[in-house]
Amino acid sequence: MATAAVAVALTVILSLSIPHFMELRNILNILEQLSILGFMAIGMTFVMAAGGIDLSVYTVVSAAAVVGATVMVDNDAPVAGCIVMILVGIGFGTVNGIAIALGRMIPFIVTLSTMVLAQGFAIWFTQAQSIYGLPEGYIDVISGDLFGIPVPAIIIIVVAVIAGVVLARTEFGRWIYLTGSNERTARVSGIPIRFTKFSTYVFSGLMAGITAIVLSAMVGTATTSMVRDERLMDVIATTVIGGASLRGGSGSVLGTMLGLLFITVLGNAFNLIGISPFIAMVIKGFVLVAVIGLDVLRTR
Amino acid sequence: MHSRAHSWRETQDVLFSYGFYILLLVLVVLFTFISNSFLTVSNWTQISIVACFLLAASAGLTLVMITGNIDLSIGSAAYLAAAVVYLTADFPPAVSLVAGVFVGVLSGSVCGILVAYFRMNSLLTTLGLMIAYRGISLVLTEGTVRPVNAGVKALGSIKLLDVFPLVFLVALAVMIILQIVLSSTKFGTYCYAIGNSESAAEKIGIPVKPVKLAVFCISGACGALSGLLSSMYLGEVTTFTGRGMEFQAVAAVVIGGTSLFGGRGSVLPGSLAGVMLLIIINNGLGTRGVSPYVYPFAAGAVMFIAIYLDSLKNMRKAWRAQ
Amino acid sequence: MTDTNVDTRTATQLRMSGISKAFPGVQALDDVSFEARGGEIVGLVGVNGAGKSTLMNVLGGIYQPERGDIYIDGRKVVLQSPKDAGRQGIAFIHQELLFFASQTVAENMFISNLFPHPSLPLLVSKKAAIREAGKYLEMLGSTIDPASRMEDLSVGERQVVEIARALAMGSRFVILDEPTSSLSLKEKRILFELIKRMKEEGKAVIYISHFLDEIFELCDKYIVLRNGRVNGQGDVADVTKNDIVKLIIGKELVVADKVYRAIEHKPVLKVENIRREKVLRDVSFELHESEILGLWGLMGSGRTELVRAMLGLDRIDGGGIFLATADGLAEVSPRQLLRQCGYITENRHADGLFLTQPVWTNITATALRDYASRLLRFMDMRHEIATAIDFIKSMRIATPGHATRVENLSGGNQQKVVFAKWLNRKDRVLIMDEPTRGVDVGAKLEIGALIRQRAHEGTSTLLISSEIEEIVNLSDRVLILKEGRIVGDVSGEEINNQTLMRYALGEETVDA
Repeated sequence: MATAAVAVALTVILSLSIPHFMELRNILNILEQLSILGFMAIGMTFVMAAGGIDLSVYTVVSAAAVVGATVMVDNDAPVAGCIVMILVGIGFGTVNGIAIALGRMIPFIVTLSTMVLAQGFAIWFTQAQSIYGLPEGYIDVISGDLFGIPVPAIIIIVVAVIAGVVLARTEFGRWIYLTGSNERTARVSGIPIRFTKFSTYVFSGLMAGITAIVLSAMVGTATTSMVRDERLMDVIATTVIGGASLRGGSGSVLGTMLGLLFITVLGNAFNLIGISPFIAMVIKGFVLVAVIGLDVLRTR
Repeated sequence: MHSRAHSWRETQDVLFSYGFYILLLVLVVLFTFISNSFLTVSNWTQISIVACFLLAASAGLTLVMITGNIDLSIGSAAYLAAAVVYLTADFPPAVSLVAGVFVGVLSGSVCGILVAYFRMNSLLTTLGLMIAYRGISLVLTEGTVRPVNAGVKALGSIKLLDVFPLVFLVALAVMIILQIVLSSTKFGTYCYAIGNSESAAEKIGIPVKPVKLAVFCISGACGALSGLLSSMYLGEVTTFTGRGMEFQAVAAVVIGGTSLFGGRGSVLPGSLAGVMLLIIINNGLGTRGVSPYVYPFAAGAVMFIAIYLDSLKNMRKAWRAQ
Repeated sequence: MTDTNVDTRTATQLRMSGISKAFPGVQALDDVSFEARGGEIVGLVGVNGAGKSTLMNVLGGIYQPERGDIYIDGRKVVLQSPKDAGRQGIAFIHQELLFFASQTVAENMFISNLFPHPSLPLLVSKKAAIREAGKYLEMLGSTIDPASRMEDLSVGERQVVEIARALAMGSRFVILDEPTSSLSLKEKRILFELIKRMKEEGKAVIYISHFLDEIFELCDKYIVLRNGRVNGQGDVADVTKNDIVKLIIGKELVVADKVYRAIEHKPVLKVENIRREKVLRDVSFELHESEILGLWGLMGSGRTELVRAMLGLDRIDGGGIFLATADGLAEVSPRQLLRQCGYITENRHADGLFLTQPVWTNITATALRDYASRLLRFMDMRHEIATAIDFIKSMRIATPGHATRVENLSGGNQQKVVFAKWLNRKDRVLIMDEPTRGVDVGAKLEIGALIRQRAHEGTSTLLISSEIEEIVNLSDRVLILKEGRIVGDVSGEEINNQTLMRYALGEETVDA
């Protein structure tokens, strides 16, 4: 939690020192950007709390988006398209879950290959063409405003609250933490570890599906690499800043959201200051390595 | 009954160890039959050129993976090296190339220090550095295509005996050297030992940390070499240089028999076969007119299968040790 | 004593003098002095935790003693690492073998000093290694192929390779730590031959084992450690097994100063003919209501294996398990038994605690269902914390607070948390394996009292322990295991350390 506090402090400092930062337009901007990473990071929080990791989220988003968008465009059926996106996300999550929870394979290896598989699938499915022409209504609703607040922001808040409550206050959430903390003890204590681990990967897939919905609406198209590679490190960093550890057994949705705030504000600040996106990438890369390094020191 | 179970297990062993070589052979035969243009000199020249970038990178990666680690920054190291070539356009080509390799060693050493001395997780560390190095390369090239010194480009089109592309021969030479290192030097033996049991290696007195640092430097250098070869052949540096190569390399190395758990594998014939398998699938499908977009999916699927089988192999060994 | 013996005496010699080593909370070694000579086999004995491994770890350069010195051939040496020990000619063959699975026997043997290639610089010669390895293996009379991979060898064969490695490195002192625990009879024979050969070659062999039969068969000398101190040493020829046993567990007759309870013959748990290949042979017994049934035996007797097989955590090859229900005994599967009994495991760090979690989360972990709301499964955390605070008070768990992470508590308090976790579930049957291992004396007494109190309240307890005093003090009845079979069933005044030992060594036969 200490890192989250630092994140908040930095946010405050940045907001006070950079012009235009506290303007409404900018804050709304931030909230909207937040949501994309946010969904994935919430999914990652669950997975990491249970002791695993999911490297495939960001390509599953693309896979889900292209399949769903195709359905949407071919049948002018936005709702059906959304459902398909969710199903594809859950589908990949299930593949991960089965391999890891039932097959007892190593999470980062399995999700690494799922990541490649999902991307390949997306490319093959679309023949590398982006999908345009998503239904206007769909775009307007999902990426529009409700009472002046961007809809993605509303969705992320709702999802975060529900996920946060589940993780922190329900029996299932407790299963996740205990499984992540010590799987053998959890087994002896009667906790259903296979079901728990399986569910976290399915949930992560579900989050990828939701990300696909919001992101495709925001950019108006579905492409084969909707989420850039760097975002994966962002996702992992937000959860680690928020208290999660690669070892498992810790992390929280609230912490993740704070970490998210930090990362997004950092990116936003870079933008405002006028730092070239490339240099921003470099800084982020090193900052994220540092974050991982700190996590290692923390658990030693 | 006991002997039947025993021979089934032996069959499984053979399948697991040699399965992909057999698959490779089958594919070559298959494509030869279904396509006229497959088994031609020009096609294979093309194949050798396309393959050489991946071959160079996979060679270094193999060593890293044998020690039980992984290096995802090699693609970005390739881009970095190529960027350096662009920046040193005013110098003689030899200087450019040496500088490129040097940058590769440097970038690999950062990975190596973090993983070996700070005990950081190699997957996430090299993933982060991959992004950082890509960023640096983008800064150096200002994010667009950059031409390369004419002398360097000339090297890229040299063909020995008019048939064998120099770039391929260089990659092959690197593979041969690294395989010799692996199989016949103290250093190579140490790599396998560390991959088998790092704690035992430490207890016995093997210099684990320096060896780990060294393999990452080698991997960085090989990644850089891949980028150099690419810039030589294309005559330019693009934002796609090295992009995504790390995952292809991991796939190729795993398919070629190197275990993700470390302790086993080879550059020759292992990683060579792995790379060739991936390239031939793509090439063979291409000569048949299949949509090029099947390839990434096929590659991903093959990698998934390879990783699954690798896990199975590992579980069987662990179960057998009981 | 002939002249040759005098010569051997002045040959290779190792002397550890006044070694003391402490770990947080426990004095592992206290002024231990020890000698080993070339051409002699010394048996190092003592119960778990007596200090055997620590002493050898000091000799192997893994630990550094606070006080004391080590002399080799009269010269003082400092061993700061396993490499130093290796250089001084000390080879430590651990219980868990150190080897590189996918590499060959030859590579494993010579990995610290590979042979350079005869003609090409920088390269090593695998052929030379295989040749040399072959020589050493032949010397030991072994038929292992030096080009075969370590992973394809059996445990016994791997051990032979490690011994060959010790020889190849020119070791003069070879330490073997519990070498026979995973060997077949035939492999044991081979090992003993090797050890005798090493003795003939003038090496000094230090043989750590709790199998007294082996000590008497192999060793020339013995040294007994008890509670970190030397409690007897000398020539094996001058003592009997009984003498050694007395040195290992102490001379006094330890009898519990407790009132013997009358236990009703009402079986709550019954097992019949539990079998596991090579490990357990037709074990049958009954646990009665409110009884504390002790399960004891020397190491390797199958105590922990029996419990783990019963609970389905390890393989079980046969046998029936029955639990009492309202209508009498009903058969259950091992997994069902695990679910219905409290099980305090042998190693709390491995599978007894959630170290990074707070105390209260640990305590409620086995009974989460009781704190979850019916519909949405919201946890009633206030109730959980109240439960934890109750236990902290009643068990006197020393912790800064209920939210302290368990990893920050001392061993004894951690163990109390483990107990609290299981007592919270109020099971009828409690199975506990080494309940006070690594726990200070004060906490030991408190936990003992807790076990007795719960028994009074009706809990039936299956108590497995390697500490004979604990078994004697707490049990109403004791079953003695030997080599996977029950060889004794004692109660009342027969529960004392000497009787138990006699059964465990097979000097009493009983129609149990």
